[in-house]
Parts: sequence; C-alpha cells; structure tokens
Amino acid sequence: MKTYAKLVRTFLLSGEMPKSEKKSKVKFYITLGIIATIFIFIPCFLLMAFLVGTTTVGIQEEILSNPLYAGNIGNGLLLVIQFICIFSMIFGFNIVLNTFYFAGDIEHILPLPINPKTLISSKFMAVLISESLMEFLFLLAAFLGFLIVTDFNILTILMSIIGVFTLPLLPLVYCGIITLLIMRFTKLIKNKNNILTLLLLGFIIIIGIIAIGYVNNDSITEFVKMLATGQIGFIDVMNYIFPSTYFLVEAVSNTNIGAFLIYLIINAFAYVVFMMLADKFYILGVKRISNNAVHQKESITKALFNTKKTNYKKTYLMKELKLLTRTPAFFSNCILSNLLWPIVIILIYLIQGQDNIILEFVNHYKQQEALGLLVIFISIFAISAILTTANSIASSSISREGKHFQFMKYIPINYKTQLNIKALVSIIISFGFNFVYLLIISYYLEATLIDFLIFALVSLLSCIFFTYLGIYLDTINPKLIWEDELNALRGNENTFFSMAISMIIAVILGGGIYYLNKVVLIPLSILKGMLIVILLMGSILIYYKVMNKGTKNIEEIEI
Amino acid sequence: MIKVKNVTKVFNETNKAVDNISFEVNPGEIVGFIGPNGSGKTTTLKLLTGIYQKDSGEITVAGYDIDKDALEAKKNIGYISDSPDMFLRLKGIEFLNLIADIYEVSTTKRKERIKELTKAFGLEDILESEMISYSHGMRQKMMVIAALIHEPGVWILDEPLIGLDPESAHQLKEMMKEHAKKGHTVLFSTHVLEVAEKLCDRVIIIKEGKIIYQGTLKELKKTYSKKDLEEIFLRMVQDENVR
Repeated sequence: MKTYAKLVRTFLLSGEMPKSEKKSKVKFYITLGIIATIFIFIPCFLLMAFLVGTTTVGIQEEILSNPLYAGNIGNGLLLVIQFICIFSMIFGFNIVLNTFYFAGDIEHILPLPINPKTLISSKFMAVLISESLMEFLFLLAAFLGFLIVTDFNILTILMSIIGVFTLPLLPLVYCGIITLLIMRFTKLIKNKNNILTLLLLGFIIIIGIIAIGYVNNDSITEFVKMLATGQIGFIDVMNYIFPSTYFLVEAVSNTNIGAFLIYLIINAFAYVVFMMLADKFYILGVKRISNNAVHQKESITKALFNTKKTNYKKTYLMKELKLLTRTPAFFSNCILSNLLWPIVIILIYLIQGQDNIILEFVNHYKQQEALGLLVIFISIFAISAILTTANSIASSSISREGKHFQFMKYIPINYKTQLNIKALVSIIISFGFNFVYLLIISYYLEATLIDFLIFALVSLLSCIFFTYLGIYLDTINPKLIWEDELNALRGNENTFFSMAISMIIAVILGGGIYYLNKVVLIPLSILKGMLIVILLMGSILIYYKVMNKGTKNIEEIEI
Repeated sequence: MIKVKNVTKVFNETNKAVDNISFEVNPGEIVGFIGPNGSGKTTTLKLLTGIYQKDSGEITVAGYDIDKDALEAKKNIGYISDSPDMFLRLKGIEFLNLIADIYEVSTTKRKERIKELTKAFGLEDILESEMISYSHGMRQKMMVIAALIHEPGVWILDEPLIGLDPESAHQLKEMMKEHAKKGHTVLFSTHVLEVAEKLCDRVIIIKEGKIIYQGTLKELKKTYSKKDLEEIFLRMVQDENVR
C-alpha cells in the first residue's frame, strides 16, 4: 500500500508544472490564477449549474402537467454527465496511452521489484486524479444545479458527492482496457505514431454524428418535453455505454439506494476487469514497444539526393512543423483539436432547434440588420482568439523544447528570429483553420467579398495578437521538465492563462463594441475600424514585448 | 582558442557552481576537463557555449566575446551536449540538414561531410529513419556528426565518449587529434582518466567550482611521485586542503 501511495504521488508530481524561482514571476502567476478563477472557473461553474437547474425545472413542470410522461426528472442531469463521460474518454485516450506505455519513467520502474498490478493501478489512479480535476468541477456544478431545484436530503447529497468523484472512473477504465488490448494484440502503435490519434478522431466523428443525429430537434421547449417523456435515443444509447450514469442519476433523483449500490457495483466490476486484463497484458504490451522501434536500412544515396542548402529560417520553420505533426501528443492537441470547434458549434446549433439563437443572428446578418452584423463580427474575433489560444501551439512553443531547450541557446540564431519562427508556426496553423472556417461561414452567410476580407483581417490580427501573447507567457515560465511529450501540454498553466486572457479580452472588446453600438450609437462601420486598429496596436505592442522582454526571459532560463 | 578569465556562476543566489575560474585552451591543444560529479564541468562548458549566463568574468571563443559577439562565437563552436535525445521525430538526414542550414554549410560541403562522418560512425544506411528508432549510442553518434558537420574551429564536448562503441570512440579520439593537429582547439569533459592521459595535452581539474590543477599530466605525476593517475585524482578531490 505504501509503494502504491508513493508511486501515485510520484506520477502526480512528475506531471506538475515547476514553480518559477523568481518571486515576481510567482506573483504574476498567482494574479493570473485569481483572474482566471474569477472570469473562467466561476462563470463556467455557475453556467453549468444554471443549465442543469433550469432544464430540471422544465422537466418537472412537464411531468406535473402531463402524468403520462414517463421520463425521469434527472434526465437533464443524465444527459450532461453522459456528455462529460464522452469528453472524458476522448481526452483520456492519449493520456492513458502515454502514461501507461510511453512515459519516460517506465524503463526505470520496470526493473524495480514492483508488482505490475501495483504499478498499473498507481498509474491509473494518477491519471484519474490529474485528469478529472476539471471534470470534478463540472460534475459538482451539475449535481449542485440539480439538487438545488429538487427535494434533496442527506442521502442524495452523499450519493452526489460520491458520484462526482467516481463518475470519471468508468470512461477511464474503458480507455485503459482499449489501450491494453491495442498494445498487446496489435501493431497499430509503433513508436507512438499517429494511428491512435486518427482512430480517436474517427471515434470523435462517430460520436459527433450520433449526438447530432439524436440531438437534432425542433426547439428547446420540445427538447425539454422529450427529456420529460424519456424519449431521447441518445440517452438510451449512452445508458448502455455508460450504465453507471443511469443508476447514479436514478439513485440521486429518487433517493434509490438500490440503484446507488448497482452504480458502485458497476464501477467496482469495471475496475476489477481492467485490473485483471492489466495483470495479463500490461507487461507484454510494454515489451512489444521496444520490439516495434526498428529503423530501416536504406542507401545513403537516397538520403543525400534531396540534400541541399536551404535558408536556415525555412529549415527551422519546417523543423517546428514536422515535430508538431509527427509527435502524436502535439498532433492531437495542437492540430486536431482545431477540428473540434465546428462539431461544438454544430451541436450548439442543433440543440437549440427552432429557438435557434445562431440562426436568428444569421438571418439578421443576411437582412443586413445591425444586430446580426455586430454579433457575427464579434463572434469571428472571439472564435479566432479562443482557437488560437486553445490549440496551445504558441503558449507551449518553449515548453515543447523540453530537455533540449539548450539547443535554442547554443545555435547561432538570435532569439528574436527563433521566437518569430515559432510565432509563424502558430499563425500558419491557427489562421489556416480559421480561414477555412471563415470561407464556410461566409458562404453560409452569403457575405460580400468586402465583409469576407474584413472577417479575414480581424481573424488574422486576432491570431497574431494571441500568438505573441501565448509565446510571451511561455517565455516567463515554460514547462521544460517533462517525461513524455503530452506532459509538456498537460497542466501547462501558460495555455490555460492564455485562454483565460483571450476570453476576458473577447468579452471586454465584444461587450465594449456592443455597448458603443447599442447605447452610444456609434455606427458599426466605425467600430469595425476601431477593432482593427485596437488589434493592430495590441499586436504591435505585444510583438515588441516578446522581442524585448521575451528574449530576455529566454536568456535567463537555465536548465 | 578559448579564453576564460575570472568567471563565476551562481545558481539561486547562493550556490556557486563555478567560482572565479580562469584558463585558456590554445590553438592545436586538446584539453581534458576532469572533476567529480557536480564539480562544475558541465556548467563551465555551458557557460562557454552561451547556454548559461555568467555572473562575472570574461569568456572569448575564437576571439569573440560570448556575450557581445554571441552569434559569431557560436558559429565557431562545435558542441556536444550531455543529452543526445534531441528532435527524435526528425529523420537522421533531416536533423543533419537542419544543423547544416543553421551553420550555413554549402550543399557540396555538407554532402561530403555527411558521407565522410556517417561512414566513420557507421550510420550511413539509417539516415532515412526517424531518430526515435535509433539506439542511445546511435543518437550519440548523430550528435557528434551534427556538432562537426560545419567544421568548427573550437570543439566543446561534454562527455562525448559516453554511449559510443569502442570503434566509434576510437574514431572520435582520432578526429580530435587530427583537429588539434590542424591548429584547432578541443576542450572536452571526461571521467575516464585513461582517455585523458592518452589524448590530452593538458588537463584542468575542477572541484566544487574551483580549478585545483591545470597543466600536463606529466607534471602532475611528477608532483605526486610514485602514484598512478587514478590515485592522484582521488587524493586531489578527497583532500580538503586542495582547493
């Protein structure tokens, strides 16, 4: 037990971001943390609680008004936690795979006299704790929102608390079992290649299609009515995949202790099955990795055929792009993550049915009404900002260097050039995705060429500004000590703060533009110009900040 | 050549990793940097290459100040770091081309150097594979090739022989001799006293950040008569008074 606890602690610590030694930097990070908590965590928490609470009230009213409705008042909560479980699986795969098979600690731990069961169970617990922190917050908010509007008692509170901490178990057990089987019986993953990431993408698309197919409805009211009748196909499918969610919600909404016991048994059973499989397959899977690492012999003539002198900036840029696309952890988190946005927007669009707020603004825009023009314009700026920061390319650009950060320092290329090339990588990828989305949106909106060009300019400036902001944050305290590449991104506070700042700036600028247009009555054409000027000036300022203070920060980093 | 004058490096405001050291490595010389773990060898080499910033003193490499003319100084250095696990997702040939481009090596020259060096280290037929598939020794050899591809005048090598098979280690030692013969400079750190004895014109022994000896091994043996090198070294690093 002692070994288990020590291993869990060690695995958790190895994923943590080291604190800066400079007091001023620590203060800076604490301030950012407080700002992020106030502007991100608390609003997200309240929003989730509000969403579940209002849906539950709606379902209650529907059931009261029509006694024939057979749905559970907890169906709103059920739907939310099932979505959380899906996301937990999507994000959990890579983490489980990396922690179980590709973490740098494995070759040091395997020769030690540690029972494989203890090893795998401690790794699993470390993943469960570190990966579920955010999930706990959302689950807590969802249960809180539910309990406030229902007749709760001490038992339901107790069951909810246990549920919040145990719900992420089943999705991660699934990830664990699938990973164990893939690594033991297939040769799909050689040297952490991108195949699993692509499988994962396929999985996301399938889930997305299922969700879109089931969630498609006429209106929010209609949707709540469906939840009240219990006729939601999506929930039925997910009840089979995540049976624990059904029994937990049944237990909490009807104070059903029997259902809660079944919930606990399901989790325990799943964990036992996982441990049995791990005992049988884990070590064999680990051993197969080393067998997979084989280089192919080819004549040097082929290698030299394309060898020619190229501009060092171009080669450096290509190096950055190759490392991003060939490293699975970077590829899935920094590149593929950009594909999630359309799925999220389509889902939001479909869930709303006829009461569709997005559709409303689209129609306003098509009719050239001021409100539609304003909202679309602000949305494009905000989405570009969030996409650029969420993909973490800029905010992990120094962190990704890891142990070989010193390469940046001993090569004869100045830091300004290196940072600009890193910025260019982020701008190319972020704006590349944004540009494609803009083309689709503009086509759908029937936007004029001028509008399209303005959208593109705003999006580009937004990408540039938030790219340099991300890089600047990463020069202050990069996460350079990590065991595997995924750890460079996981728990990287720079990405989180960069996202938080982008959301805050998006709200301030968006709200400001809205206020100036609606209250002060400044025409939108002027406001568009103002936003472009603000973004341009902001980009220039942050660029100079990176070129001066950022390069100085790089000089001071010594590992 | 390398000139180090009164250089000090302090970590965390209290830990003096390098304490007021001065030495020179002249053209045509191979100098071994010897010392126990944590004595300041790697820190000194990192100061010479611009990876760390010194707190005081002066460092010039190939006549360039490492702070004022950093880029010019770096262009003249071939550096092998203590970790060969670098850019493992790049193919061997991509990595070598990256380094060659950074040091602006012409197409003809780099083809010639890649052929010559990969043949010497037995890596010529795996350049099209990603370096993640290489063994530790192969990666180390790749780092050696990369460090030498631009024919730098000053070689600064941190434990360059670790991980190399005997044949490759022999090759590298011969290259070091050849390089010095041409009037260039080699400074390398090592724990292997026999290597230092066979290879070095002079050695610098460092302990707790301070240089406790610099000169030829012959002179050192004379001072501590009737003792072999290992015994002398152990006595020097264990002796509280030798500072």
